[in-house]
Amino acid sequence: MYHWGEGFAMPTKLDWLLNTPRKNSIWYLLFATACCGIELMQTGGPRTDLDRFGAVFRATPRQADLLLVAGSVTYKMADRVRRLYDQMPEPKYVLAMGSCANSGGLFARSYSVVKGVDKIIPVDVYLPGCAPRPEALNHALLTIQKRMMKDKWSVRRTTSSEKLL
Amino acid sequence: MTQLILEDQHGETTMVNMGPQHPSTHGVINLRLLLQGEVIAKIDPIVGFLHRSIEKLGEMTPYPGFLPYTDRVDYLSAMFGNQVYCMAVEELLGVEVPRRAEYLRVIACELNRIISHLIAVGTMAMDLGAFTPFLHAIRERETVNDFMERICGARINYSYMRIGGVPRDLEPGLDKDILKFLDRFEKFIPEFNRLITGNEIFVRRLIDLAVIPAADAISCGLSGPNLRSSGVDYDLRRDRPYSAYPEFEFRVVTGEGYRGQTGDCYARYWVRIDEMLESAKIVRQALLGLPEGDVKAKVPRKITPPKGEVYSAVESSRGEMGCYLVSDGGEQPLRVRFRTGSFTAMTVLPKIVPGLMVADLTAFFGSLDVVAPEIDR
Amino acid sequence: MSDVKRMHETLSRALPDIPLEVESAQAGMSWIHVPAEHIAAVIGHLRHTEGFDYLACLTGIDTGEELQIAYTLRSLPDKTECALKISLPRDEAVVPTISHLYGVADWFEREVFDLYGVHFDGHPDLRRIMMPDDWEGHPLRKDYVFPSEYHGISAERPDPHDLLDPEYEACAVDPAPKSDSKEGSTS
Repeated sequence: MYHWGEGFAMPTKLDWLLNTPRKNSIWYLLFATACCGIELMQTGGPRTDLDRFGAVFRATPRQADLLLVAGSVTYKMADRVRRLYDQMPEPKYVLAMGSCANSGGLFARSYSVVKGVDKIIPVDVYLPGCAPRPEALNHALLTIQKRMMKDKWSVRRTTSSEKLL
Repeated sequence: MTQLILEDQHGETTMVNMGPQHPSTHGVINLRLLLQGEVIAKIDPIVGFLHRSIEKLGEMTPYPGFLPYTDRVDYLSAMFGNQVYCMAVEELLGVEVPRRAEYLRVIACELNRIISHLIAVGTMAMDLGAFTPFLHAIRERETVNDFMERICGARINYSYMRIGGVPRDLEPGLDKDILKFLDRFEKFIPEFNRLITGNEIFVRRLIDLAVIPAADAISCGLSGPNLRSSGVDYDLRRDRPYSAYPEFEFRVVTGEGYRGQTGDCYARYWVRIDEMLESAKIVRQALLGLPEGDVKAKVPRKITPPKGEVYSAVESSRGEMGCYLVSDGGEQPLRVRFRTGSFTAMTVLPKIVPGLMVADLTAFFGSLDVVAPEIDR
Repeated sequence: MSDVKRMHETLSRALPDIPLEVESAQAGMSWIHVPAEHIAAVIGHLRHTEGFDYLACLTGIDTGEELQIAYTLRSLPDKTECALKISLPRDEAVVPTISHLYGVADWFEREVFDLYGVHFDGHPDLRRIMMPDDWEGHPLRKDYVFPSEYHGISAERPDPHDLLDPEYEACAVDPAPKSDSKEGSTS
């Protein structure tokens, strides 16, 4: 059982009530652009089973809580990524997986790759590696869960991606 | 987009964008479909969503430093990217690779072909709604991933080969483990066949669907399993020999169409299943006949090949992967160009797809086994 | 090597009006140099008479002075290969298309058009393939200037080494985990 502690306040309880189910059923958008997508598939596979955290892949952004940007994003793709993000319902989280999504990585000198997906959409957790191992992805997912527990119900946490520009 | 609709004025047409974010397009590819009811009247594949300018980066990077980029040309079969690039530079330099290194390259490449085909057949079944075969395929893939980690330290982007050979020998005991795995793997394939390949629903879904005639396959430059499943008996490993392949015995699998026709989706699926067993055979031969000796030839630290051009090609798991390398005598190449199997496989879509149903398109597209970065590079 | 020389002799006999030369550099393979305006005729002859039924590779090359296009043809039954090459001026690069001879040439030529700006005469559908339609310039040319922004997305990213510099202000900020735990304890 959850230990309530002494003298808890009402908002905390409500936050806890809202966040616990949220954190234990992270549905992520299957958005595999490049190499990291394969590691994402393997993380969903039998060995490092993402299902045990309640994380299931969805094919449509309308049903997803977490945008898992797995791989490099090019300028041609940038508008689509932004649109996918805007189509997701609130509250939404973004996990930039791999060096390309973090900063451009190996392709930072390229003419066509966006230098980090945080130039287009707000990112919650950055996961380094090229490509990150499934264990690392698990850890990133747990980090997202920790982050979710800190959310307050009264604060609208994310805004539209247009604010970044 | 409007142009397409104006062109087709008969009957009611619908314009549908499939992708770039779609679970069955295997990466970021956009297929613009013009539909009449449920039948596709016209298809316009839009690619380039993953154009990462690897070729330009090749012109900006010294020869040895470009090796990690060759992994990313096709991340599912990174060994072949390594090999084709190393072969091109070695040919320009006139370096002869030690025989043991060639054997180690063959072992790594064929293991890579197995795990790439596992993903191909697994995702194809998943596209058609069967999720369990995918999990079985991934389970086997993870075992080989462990071997890859012991061979070169990476799970996906291997960067295993070097110009002139391979950086290090097999670790002791690894050959026995791989042989043990191969014994198990040869039993796994019949199990997988019982699970999905022989499944009557799966077979009926695929036979006689989207037949690519041999003439079209050759004209559209299909290569690898896609070309062979159309009945064309051509394999670069045998017909344009490279590395140590002439020393091994293996069968070139062609789509015979024992269910359905030659060149249909089921033939393409079956060729991949059969090729995995052939690859296992090659790995076994290479491990048992591994010669002694060095694993890396002497190559100067600063690589400056003489002026010249070379086209090297290897049989990757998605067909012919070629590297057109032009050197102007400097430290960086003047031009690196990758010719890939997926790029040419996309050109067959406008010929074959019109007349198919939308649901059949996912089956057809899955059977072609294209990956986005290989198209766009 | 011998394939190319033999093919050069065959071609010179069959098409006596077209000046063809065998060229090679210090290393690697040799190729037949063809005048750009005759390339479709030469490849058509190779395709229909000599049995080169497979276009293995088509690539553009920018040497800095001129543009080149290299064709690698292959005959699947005979297992022979033939390399052809043409040279083009940088400002007005126009070539006859070979997309009517090989289905795959359609996309190969679109790619060369996109990345090098070579115009293929008679191509049914010549438009950009890799880059977005509103992209400026042809990236694989040697004089290409990399864009600083596209649709409002800047191509700049600070070098992490600058951030590590002790004199850089950003380093004065508290490390992230500490501030996180503070927030957690206050809530």
